[in-house]
Amino acid sequence: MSYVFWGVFVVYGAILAGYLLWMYKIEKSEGGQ
Amino acid sequence: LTTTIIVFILYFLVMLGIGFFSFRNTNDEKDYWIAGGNLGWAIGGASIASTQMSAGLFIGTIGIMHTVGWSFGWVVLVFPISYWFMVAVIAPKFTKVKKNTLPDFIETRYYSKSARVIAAIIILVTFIVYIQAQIVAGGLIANIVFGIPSEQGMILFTIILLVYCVIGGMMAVMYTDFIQMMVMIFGAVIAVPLAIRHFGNIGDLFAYTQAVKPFTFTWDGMPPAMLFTLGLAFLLGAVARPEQLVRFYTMKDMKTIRKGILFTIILVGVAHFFVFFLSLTTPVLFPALPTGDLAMPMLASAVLPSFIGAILLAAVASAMMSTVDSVLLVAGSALSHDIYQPLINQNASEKKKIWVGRIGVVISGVVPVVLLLLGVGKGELVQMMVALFSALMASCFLMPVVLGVLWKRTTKEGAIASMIGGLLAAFTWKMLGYDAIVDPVVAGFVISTLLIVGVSLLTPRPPESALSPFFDEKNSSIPTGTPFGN
Repeated sequence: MSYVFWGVFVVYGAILAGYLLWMYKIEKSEGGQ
Repeated sequence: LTTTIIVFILYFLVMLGIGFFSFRNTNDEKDYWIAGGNLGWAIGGASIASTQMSAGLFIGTIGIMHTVGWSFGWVVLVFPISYWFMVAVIAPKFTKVKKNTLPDFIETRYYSKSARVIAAIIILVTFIVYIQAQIVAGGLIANIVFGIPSEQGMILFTIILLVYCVIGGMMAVMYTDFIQMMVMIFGAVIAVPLAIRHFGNIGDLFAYTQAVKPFTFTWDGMPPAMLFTLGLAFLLGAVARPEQLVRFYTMKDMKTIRKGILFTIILVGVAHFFVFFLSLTTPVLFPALPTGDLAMPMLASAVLPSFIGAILLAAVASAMMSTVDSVLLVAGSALSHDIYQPLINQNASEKKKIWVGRIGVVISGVVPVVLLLLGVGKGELVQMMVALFSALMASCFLMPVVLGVLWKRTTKEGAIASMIGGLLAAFTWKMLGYDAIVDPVVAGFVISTLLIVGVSLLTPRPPESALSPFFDEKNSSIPTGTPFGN
């Protein structure tokens, strides 16, 4: 199957993972204040 | 057909029930416009997601993918990016002073009642375009479900929407959005396996689709350059939508907003990907449709079992209604809270303010339908109308909001010039027919950016009193609003 098909899932998942990581970092730094 | 009608009557009753429940819990303006400002992440996140996903998703997106193939689906990536940007860059400062509407924010940040009224007028005018696009879809759904002419269908949906929005305000909008989001997810998720089963298994579906449209999984249907321009229009338009920004005011604090946006990203992804799968089935099932917009209604009424078809149609109705109710409320708030109150009656009682708000919502709902019935704004692909709305939003509000929270030097003159210039540029671009070459968002965005930067630099610096609520880190307790965060 072409990457035109599955690529969009991979990129969406990567953005979601990035967001989760960012959120985790913010919550951690806020908790430490 | 009877099953479908029963499903829809139940669905309408739930919406109206939420409207009445919210009516009883709405006591002041804050309740009416921002649902009290204390909602949790699940309601907030689902509401942002369902407001984002309009009838354009089920009708326009399936329609376009029916024609150009899977490549169009890459546009979905703009949503998580825009939400992330909003929550990381705009929300922390935007919500520092809790207000009721976007024009409220503009007045506070740009120390100008005129800027607020101009923003409100732009919202009113542009939202009519958007409500029209959605109501057209409502007419289409009602035509399939109840067999009534689409004009009557448009009136039916408008009445239901108006009843719960007018009486219940933002609380009704947020809670119905949540239910509507769940109906959308349920409808899309349950319809996909049944539609695929029609072909055998998923491998068979891919084989059939590629046999009918060999370019389905290539960039040929929609070349990356075109995709990029369209994605840019969606991205820029998604960041500064007044009906989405105001949802930040409805949630309790920044922690809630961040969680809510996580939920939004998940919901938007799930709904889109399932809808994309549905769009793979339609070119095989209906290879000779006159317009792609008919693909989804045909799928629901002719292919799926009646109950599932009914749920899918309810999902489409939900997508439409959850967007229109939010847009309606913001248009109503623009009319009554941001135009009537500051200009005509500044000292109205809370009760009177709510009722004036309700009248504003009624007017904002009736005008688009009357225009449609008179034949103004009909006949374009739904998705393309939605795309013009995105362009207008980006051209008017993106820079005044983003630079408003990032650049202290932005002045009221710059903001006003940017809003008006951006709107005119995007609109003129479309009217001249250049939108076939470059999306109007590019013209609008460039002009609004040049104007806000240029005019701000040429005009006196903003007073410190207008900046400190947003930029002063020590200022954790804001006298004019509810303090946010820790």
